[in-house]
Amino acid sequence: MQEFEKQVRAARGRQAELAEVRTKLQAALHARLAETGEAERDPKVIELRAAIKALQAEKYDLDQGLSAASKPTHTLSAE
Amino acid sequence: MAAYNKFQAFVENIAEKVHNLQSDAITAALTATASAPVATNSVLADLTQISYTNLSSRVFTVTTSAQSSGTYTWLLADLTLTASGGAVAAFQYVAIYNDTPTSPADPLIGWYDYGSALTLLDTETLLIDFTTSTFTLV
Repeated sequence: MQEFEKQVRAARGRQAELAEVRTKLQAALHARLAETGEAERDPKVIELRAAIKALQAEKYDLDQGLSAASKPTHTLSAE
Repeated sequence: MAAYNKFQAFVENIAEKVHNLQSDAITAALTATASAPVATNSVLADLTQISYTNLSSRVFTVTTSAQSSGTYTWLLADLTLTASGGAVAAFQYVAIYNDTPTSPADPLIGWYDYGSALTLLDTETLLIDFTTSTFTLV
């Protein structure tokens, strides 16, 4: 159980990190869009969007994993 | 904590090479409140099992099967039973049996009492949490 709880803690930490990075990337994207207005052709915008997409994919997998690995509904503690 | 209850025939089966507790397929059997196991049950057919529809695998992994200073320890890895696709029939007792031997077929080992009837609803889980040993032999 200790190993399981350690893994869940690590996954939650990574989840928080990803949320923070996503916020920063989105702020950068919005700033770039406001600055250039050339959304579709601007390589920086394309790069930022790709980075956000990749991050979202990792976060989705993590969310799913954490949901599945959440605490058991019931426990039978066998002596 | 749920106490380990021994089926009496188990000790004779150990002595008469029915079990290989390191490599055999050790499995959980669930019974309802009205069908409590008793110590004189000896094989799986003696138990009235619930329907396992919507329940995940009931096969345990043996973590430890070894002696140290003459004391044999048998420990099963924790097993999570999960309801998937719907609820699972209510049960109260978790029995452990050996699914490998054919004579006698499916000999019983021991059982635990959850304490009350339990219905696992869809996606709910029951963690069978073993501590330091499932049983020891001295």
